[in-house]
This record gives sequence, C-alpha cells and structure tokens, in this order.
Amino acid sequence: MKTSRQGKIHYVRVGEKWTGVVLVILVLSSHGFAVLGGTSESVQADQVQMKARLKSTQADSYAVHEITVPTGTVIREYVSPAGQVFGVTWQGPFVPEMRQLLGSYFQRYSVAAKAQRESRVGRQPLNIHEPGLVLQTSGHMRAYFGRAYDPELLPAGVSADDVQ
Amino acid sequence: MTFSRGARAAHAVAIIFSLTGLMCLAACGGGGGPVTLIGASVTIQLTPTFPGSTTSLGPGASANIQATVFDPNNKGVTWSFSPPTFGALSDPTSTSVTYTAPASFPAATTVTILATSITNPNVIRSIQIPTSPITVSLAVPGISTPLIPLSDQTINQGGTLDIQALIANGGVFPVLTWTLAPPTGAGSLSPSGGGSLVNTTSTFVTYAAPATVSSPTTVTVTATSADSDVSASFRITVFPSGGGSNVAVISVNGGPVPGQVYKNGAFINGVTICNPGQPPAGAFPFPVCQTVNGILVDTGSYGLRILQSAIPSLKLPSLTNADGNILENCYAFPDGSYLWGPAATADVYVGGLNASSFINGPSAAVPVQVISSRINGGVPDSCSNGGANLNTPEQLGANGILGVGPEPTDCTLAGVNFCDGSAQAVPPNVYYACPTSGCLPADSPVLANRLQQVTNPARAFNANGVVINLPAVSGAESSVNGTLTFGFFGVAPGATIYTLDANANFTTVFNGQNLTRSFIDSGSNALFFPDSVPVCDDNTQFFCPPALTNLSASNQGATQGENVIDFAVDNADNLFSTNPGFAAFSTLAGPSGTGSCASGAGACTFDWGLPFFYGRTVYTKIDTCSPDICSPLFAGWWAY
Repeated sequence: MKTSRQGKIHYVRVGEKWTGVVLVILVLSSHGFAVLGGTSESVQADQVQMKARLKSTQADSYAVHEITVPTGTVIREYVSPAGQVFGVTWQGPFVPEMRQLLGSYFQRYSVAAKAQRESRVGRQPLNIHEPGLVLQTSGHMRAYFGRAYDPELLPAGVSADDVQ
Repeated sequence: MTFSRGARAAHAVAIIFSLTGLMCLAACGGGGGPVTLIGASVTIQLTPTFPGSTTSLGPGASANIQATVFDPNNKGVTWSFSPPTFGALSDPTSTSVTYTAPASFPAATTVTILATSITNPNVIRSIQIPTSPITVSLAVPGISTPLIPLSDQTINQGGTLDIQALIANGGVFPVLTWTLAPPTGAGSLSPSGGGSLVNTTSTFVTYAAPATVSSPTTVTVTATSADSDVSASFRITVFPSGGGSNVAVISVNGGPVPGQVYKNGAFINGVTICNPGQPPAGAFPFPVCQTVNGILVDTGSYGLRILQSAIPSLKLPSLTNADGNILENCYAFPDGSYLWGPAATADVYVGGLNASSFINGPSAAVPVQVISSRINGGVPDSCSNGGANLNTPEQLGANGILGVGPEPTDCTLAGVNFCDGSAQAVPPNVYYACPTSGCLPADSPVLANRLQQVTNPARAFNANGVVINLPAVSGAESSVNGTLTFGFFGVAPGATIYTLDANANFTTVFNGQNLTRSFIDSGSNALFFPDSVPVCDDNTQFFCPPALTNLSASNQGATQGENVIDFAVDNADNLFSTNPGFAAFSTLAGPSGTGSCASGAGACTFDWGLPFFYGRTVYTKIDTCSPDICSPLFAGWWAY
C-alpha cells in the first residue's frame, strides 16, 4: 500500500447555494474501490483499507472520492449523504475494470454495450440510458473517459451534471 | 518374457534375417553357373541434372535423372513417378530418364521419380524434383522489389511511373502482354524500348498519367505471361496533386464487407503484408505475402491490427516473452468493445514505403496485432471488460485498423511508456503472456518491452506522422477518395499547429462548454459532442435536428493554436433514408455525454470524427517525447 495521498476541499454548486464538498485524492496500489450502488459500509471499508480520511461538511451535499489506480486512471466516486455511491466517473490511459467499478450494474452495462455494438457498425461513444442506469463513454486509445450513475440514487438537489 | 520397445524391434529384425536365410537356401542354389544375388547386394544412386543453374523445373522444362546402379547382374532400373498425371517421363534407359514438367500448372508441386532395380524389385530408390509455376511480379524500380507483390501506387497528373515485370520459370525470353484498364482515358502504357504491348519481351514499361484529371482516377496495370494465364497487377491512382511514393489512396466507400455500408469510414486498400524474414531455404525467394483491402484509417489509435481472415495464407510469427509464452494484445475501444489477439511481426508495404525485414533486416519488421475469429483459450476479463469482441469483418466493419494517431506505440502517451515498466510497475490491461493453449479469464496483464509493442505503421515507415486529405462533401455522397501521406516537412501555409496536452487532447469550446478532452479521430463516424439537439428515433447514436442546424466551435491547442470551426448538423434518420447506400456524410453528428460541461472539470469531449476531415488537410505528428525531454512540439500535435 502506497502512503502517498492528499486531500483538498473542493466546492461544487448545488442548487442556488455553495456547498462544501470534500474531495479526497488517493493513490492506491490495489484496485480496491467502492462500486456504483455500493453502501456507506463499502465506502468505509475502502477508507479503512486506504487509510484515507473523508470529511463531510454538509448533510445535503455529497462527497467525492478521487482514486488513482496504479495504472494511472483516475476514478471518482460520488457518495450521497446517506453513504451510497450514486455515480462514478473515470478518465485516464486505461479503461478500469468495469465489473469492479459497476458492481451489480455490470451485467446490465455488458448487455446494453454489446447490444448497441451488434446493432450498428462503426465507432462512436457509448450512451446507455436505462431506468436506473445512465452510462456514457468516449475518448481514444490511451485517453478514455466515462461516467455512470443511477438516476434513482441521485440525492435531492444533486443533478446528473454534477457527476463528471 | 517382456520386451522393451527397442528389444522388441531387435527381436523382429532377427526373425526377418532368419526368414531371408531360409529363402536363400531354397532359391539361391549353389554349385556352378551364374550366381543370382538378391537383396542388399544391389544399390542405386540417383543424380538429377536441371537446365541452366535452376534447382526446380518451370512449366514444360525437363530434368535428366541418371541412375548409378551397383548390380552384379547389370540389369539397371525401371522408372516411374508420382503424382502420375503431373508431367511425363521420356527416353527411359536402364540408367537414365528425362522428366518433363506439365506445360502449365497453377502451384508449386514436388514430383517423386522412382527407380526400381530390375534384378531385385524390392530395391527402390527415389528422388524429388521440385517444380515451380510461371510467376509474374511487378515492381517500380527504385522503390520496390519484384520479389514482393507491388502495393497500390499514386502519382500526379502529367506524371510517369516506370514499371518492371519479373517472370520466373518462363524461359530465357519470356513473352508477356501488358494491359491497362480502363484502356483509354486514363493515361497510357509504352514499352521502354518501343514496340508492342502484346506478346512482347519488354519487361520494362512506362505509365504516363493523363495531363489533367478533375478527380482522383484509378487505373489497373496488368502483365500477363503469354505461356500461361498467370498475371500480376496493381493499381495506380492519378491525383490532380498530392500523389507520390509515400502516398496511399483512402476511400470513404462503405467498407469491405458485402451488404454492409460503413458510414464515414476511410479505408486504405492495397496494403501488402508478408511473413517476415527470408523465405524457407530452397524456395524461390518470394516471401509469402497477401495484399489486403478495406483497412480502416484511424487517427484515434496506434498500430496495425489485422483480422486473420484477411490474411489466410499468412502465419505471422507471434511475439513471445522471456518465458516463451505468446504475447497477447488487447485493444479496448472507447465504446467498450475490444480486439484480442497475439502481437506478431509482419513486413508491411504501402505505396513505395516498407517496414520490411526481407529488405532491411530482422529489426525492420513491425509488431502488429493479429485477430482471429477463433479464440484460443479465453479472453482475460480485464480485456473483455463486459464488451463485445469485434473479431470478424462483419463486426469490425473492416479487415483491420491502421492506427496512425499521434503516438508511436499502443502503450505510449506524451513520452510515457505505460507497458514497459519504466513509468509504473503494474502492467495495464494491454499485454498478456499465455501458453500455446491460450489465456484464461482470470489471467493478469504483463509488461511488454517497447520493441514488442504494436507500433504505429507511420513510425515503422520512419515517417514523422501522416497527412489525411479528403475532398469536401456537400451533405451526402455515395463515396469519396482522398490521400493518406506518410511523412511531411512542416505544414502548408495557412495550416495551424494545435499542441496536445499530456492525454493527447486539446480543448474545444462549444456552446459555453469547455470541452477539455477533445480530439481529432478519423476512426469516429461523426462529430460527437454534448448538446441538447434531439437524438434520432432510429439511429440513436446520432442527432436528428428538425432541420439543418449550423453550429460553431473553437479549438484551442494546449499551448498554441486557436481556430473557429463552423459546422452543420443534419437529421441522420432523414440523411440515411434519402441516401441509401451512401457512405460519406458531412453533417453527421451525435451525442457524447449529456447535460452541461460548463465547468470543464470532467470528461467533457468533442470528438472531431471523419466529417471534420472533409475538405481539409489534417496533419498528425507523432509524439517524439522521452520521459526526460518533452516539449509541446516534441509531443504529438495536430495541424489543419
């Protein structure tokens, strides 16, 4: 386990007021991170494993864990006040392990991604819009981006645009 | 009593010897008169004589075979051959025969000549006579060798191209016929020594392009051996300007898959791929090669990836790691699909360029990815990652991908090599090492050294990058042709360089959004960006505005370059239904992400796909950074 880590306050605008959100940046030597839809227990388990500190200053905002996996891709987890991961994003030179990132949403992602690919020829970003799962990807070789969230898990006052 | 295998064999030999002794007692007789000796006392030695200095027979050619027979009865041999309908024996004597190959045959065949002792028919000696069909091959003197199938060439209007034919196994003065298709209106052929193009011994001709062409015009030059229907041909495309030995034609033509129209894909044809190295000893020195059409030109990736189905005659040698395991390669597309298959070395020829170990020694071969429709073992989960395997032409929409983006290998970014252990110890999900039985789903990636990484073919051709030039498209066209140029000296006046950030991206400002992860990608079918334009009902990956919509965006290089791009978006459902079978669409666009990217903090992207290239000359310069030395102009950049 690398000990290199840092934390900084990151502000995001929610509704009409500025809300403090803690952005915890972690550099991990393992691939461990919380998954979409995971509970506060999984987040806390990660925190313990990462020896990371997480501060939450507002009950009506959300926290962002920023994790750099050893191969350089940055993963952000968006955690509701109730401690649930309602969104994840990734950007970096390699696609993260989707099964680990998406947890119980992985199978739906896989079915939808394959179905879109089989229905058309050509190359374009992936856009999955289903009840309970929005997933979008783009990028090119060695620079991949994506985000996934469950619209039904968005905390009050938080917009899908915040997951980015 | 038990025998080991060796002891059992020795026992069997002993029994045979005993039987031979008994037979001799019965048949050999004794006393006076001639003694008829049987068995080991007869020996035959065969010596072939080929015409000239050849070691194999061409069509209609003959070899003499002499038998040196040690036979106390002096009776010599009888002759036979196999396969029995392939050629003929003539002038047989007890010690010699002439074998003549068929007048024409399609493939190299080895003939076995058998000499059977007359004294003892159990004594048979054989010799193998290789035969080689007439082969015709073409070259452009100075830029290619006739030992390699000639790739497609490009020249400019008013230009000329010298062409040489090599006819192997066609006799001392082989006769051939040159043809040009179409025969008129697309330039002319003339033998270098004058005379006829038909039934000529001229192996050198000159192609003269038309003085002017209004659009790229392609002709096919064919040389046919008069003694057989064997021929060789290649294509020349005449451009108003921009042709040359480092230039290949690219076509937005719907792609190579029958029944499938690949929209906004630029394909290169006539790429010659060969097994690397020298041909097997004894073979005529033609490497095994195949010319492949329909490879997608992709500035969004790095490296040549080829479907095995496009090169069925080739067995490109897989690269192996230190343990002797096969180095497997994984290419993850941004949409979650992937290509899986071994990294292998190939000799590659495009136009007058080559990455050829046959010509330049072993290190000149280029690592490519070979994708088979039949997966050996399994694909590691960290490669498949839930996505679709695009390992057939139907799924890929192409026979391969020519990744000519701004990085030298598929594991580099701004001077950092992610796969060789220099930047990080943990291998990313790009290379795997597996035994010949294949990988398993749980297998983890491995490190791969720089020289084994799938390499940008432009880099393998020692070019600094590529230039893509496609004509303007007004709405929709059935197909368009343009050029892919390997290597350039500076950019044309009026072109601007846009430097890239550490992720090989620049920024596009569009509709108040700072899209900091933007890029130019000839492999994307459309322009993709976040906007509120409605998506289509049928083709949900594209936008369907109620009417043609004019938009504007600004590209900003990481450290230099800024320019406003005006573009238009049309209704994709309508475009496709009113232009069935068309391949080129300049107003095709689609969504990338949703909602606002105003803060620019996230993964906000403007993907400038192929429509961006229509009517532009776009330069892609390959990153030459090292981890220690990197400046924006050393790094990769775009210019247009």
